[in-house]
Amino acid sequence: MSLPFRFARRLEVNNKRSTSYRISGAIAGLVASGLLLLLTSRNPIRLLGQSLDAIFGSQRGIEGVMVQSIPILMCAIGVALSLRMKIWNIGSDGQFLMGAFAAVGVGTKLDVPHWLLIILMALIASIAGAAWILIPALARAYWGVNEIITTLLLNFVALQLVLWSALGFWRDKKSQVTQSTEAVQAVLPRFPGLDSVSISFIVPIVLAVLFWFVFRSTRVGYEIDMIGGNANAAEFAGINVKRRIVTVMLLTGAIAGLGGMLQLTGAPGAQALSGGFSNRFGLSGFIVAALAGASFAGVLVAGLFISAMFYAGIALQTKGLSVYIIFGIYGVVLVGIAVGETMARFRLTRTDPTSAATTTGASA
Amino acid sequence: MNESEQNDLVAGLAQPVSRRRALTMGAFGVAGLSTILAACGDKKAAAPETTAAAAETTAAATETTAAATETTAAAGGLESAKVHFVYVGPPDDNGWSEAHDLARQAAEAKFNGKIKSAFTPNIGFDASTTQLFEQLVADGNNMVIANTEYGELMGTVTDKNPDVKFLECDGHKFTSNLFGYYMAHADTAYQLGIAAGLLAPSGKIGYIGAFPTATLYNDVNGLLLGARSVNPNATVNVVLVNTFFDPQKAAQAADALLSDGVEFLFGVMDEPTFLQKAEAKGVWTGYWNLDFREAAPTKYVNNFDLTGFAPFYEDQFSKLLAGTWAAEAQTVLLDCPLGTWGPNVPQNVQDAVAAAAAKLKDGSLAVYTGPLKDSKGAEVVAAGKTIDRQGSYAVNFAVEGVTGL
Repeated sequence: MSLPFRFARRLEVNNKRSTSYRISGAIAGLVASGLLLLLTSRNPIRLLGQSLDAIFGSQRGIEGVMVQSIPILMCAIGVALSLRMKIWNIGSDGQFLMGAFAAVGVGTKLDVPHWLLIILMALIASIAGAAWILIPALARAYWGVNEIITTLLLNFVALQLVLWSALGFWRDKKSQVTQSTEAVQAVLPRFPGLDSVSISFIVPIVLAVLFWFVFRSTRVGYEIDMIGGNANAAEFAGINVKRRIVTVMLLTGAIAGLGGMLQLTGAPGAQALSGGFSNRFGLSGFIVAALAGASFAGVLVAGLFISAMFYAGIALQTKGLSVYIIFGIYGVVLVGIAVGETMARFRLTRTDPTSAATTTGASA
Repeated sequence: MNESEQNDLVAGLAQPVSRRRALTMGAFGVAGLSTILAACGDKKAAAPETTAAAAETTAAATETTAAATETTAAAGGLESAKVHFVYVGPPDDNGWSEAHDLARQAAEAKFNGKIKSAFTPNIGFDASTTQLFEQLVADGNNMVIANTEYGELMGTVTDKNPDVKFLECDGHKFTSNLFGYYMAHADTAYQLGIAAGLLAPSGKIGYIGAFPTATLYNDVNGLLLGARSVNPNATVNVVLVNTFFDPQKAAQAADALLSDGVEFLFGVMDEPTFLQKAEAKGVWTGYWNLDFREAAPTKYVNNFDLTGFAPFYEDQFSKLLAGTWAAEAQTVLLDCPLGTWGPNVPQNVQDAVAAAAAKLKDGSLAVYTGPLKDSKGAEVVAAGKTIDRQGSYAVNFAVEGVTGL
């Protein structure tokens, strides 16, 4: 059977088309979710109105999205950085948790001025995040061990360590709280004029701009992109590929770890470590980086979009919409974007009837 | 998007549409059209919803006036009030959250629509929970009730909103607008322990717990001390699963304890999976939250009776409406008797428990009566000393005979 049309791979994917296809994909996903909601006899237009009102109807909504976005953006920037090298760091959740773990250790045990404590916590968190990816980085660079497996599995180890600390050796016994460590007392100041967003919001923005610049105009950025394109060619061109891989992977871990510290000292209600400390931020960050195609401007846009979606989900839950439906909507929208991203790489062409005939003739 | 790109996009829109583009645009167009059609088709269904929305707006309007009256007449109370419950699990979990939801409905029904209550289920322990509480405040709720301890995830919001009343089940933070409440369940566990000690000849009791907190220590200590009062060999073996609601983990823990040979299985799980496991093995079992004997038709012993939440919520609602609400200074401990006995529990067991229950009630018997040692061998209650109800709510040790903590 031959269809009158077929998909042909585009030789070159242009950024603008790719972006517009992704946006169309997100809209198509929202429309499809709307249809699903209609099937369950809910009014999607009203829910959309409520979501938009929850986000844009008040300063609190916009701040809520910003608060949601900080940990997701930090993980996403780390992942995007490694994706430039075609390295898949699935372990940013673990690095994020280890950053927070180290920061809690320093933040609740050291008795120094708070400004100094903040700096120490940021340092130790970055180091802990980097340390958590050290073995996968060395294994990948020197022995070619698949980093997807190693980074992924270390997430579980990190989570167990956090659980152990929250329920065991660092558990807050004084306040009898069910399942968390003591809270850190040193917190970041609020963003001027804002009520719940800490100044940590500028960190992912600064990092994104910095990396955008590095990849646009520096040799290091060019080398990393080159390794991503073809590691053998890069090696042949005299780039120390192994060292670059280790450096970049450690850096992605450090960024995620710093994200853990920013969450701990910045997000409202998150000053103690518990099993729920990372609300799958690493996974969300990974999705953001993958959807953004490792472009740093794209990471910011996609990160804020996904955070807005999560925040709207919270508002809708209080309006009686089941959390399972909300997760379903997230999924459908994200699939829409992924399909859009893939479709941008293809084009529909009319099947040439003569060439089809020749193919059949040849195979017969 | 920079300026030149923007211009490109505008230019692109002005250009004649290529066939490829027409195809993709067409596809999205069809999708869009079908939504509109579907929306039109749904108009009839949507109509009552609109009226409902309209009714809501009027309700909101009355509320604003009510709020206005509140501000003018300082302690004048409220015409009507919105109360929102936050549940750690689903409202139909056959357990803890269901017990709260039944109490919510029963209490709400007493107020002829003056109390409008709603709930949000399945709320976990991460920072977005804080945002959820903020949203509930923004939604104009007068009172927010959480059926588990969210700690500072909730505490940061309560501090910022002194006009909203907060209740936290098993909470440990007490401010001008927040207090904790719980069941006085050490007594109940003691009574169930007596039944367990009589029903299990070897004295081996299994317990599935979530987190090592005071409420858990009271559960296992009560069970053990009750069982020891009739069976000196009694032991309680605890398995912690770090969650209140995860049927799979609860099933694994139940399997482990049952294969270890426990003869009575109990736990703090919010759902009754472990009861089914015990029934399948022919082992006696009991439950915290509700009468759920259908999970273990022949081996059901008893359950903690949580119907006390309903009058408690009713009291809170009426104080809220009357304007006399004030946060309590310490944990409110509600009476929590045992429920109805299972069909196969012998009469002598029931009688022994009833006798102890009467003594616990008149104060001639206390769960924690010295001398008591903790599981590490240190003396925690001296001879002749007892711990009262409020004190038992703060215990931080497992008594000798409890393992796994």
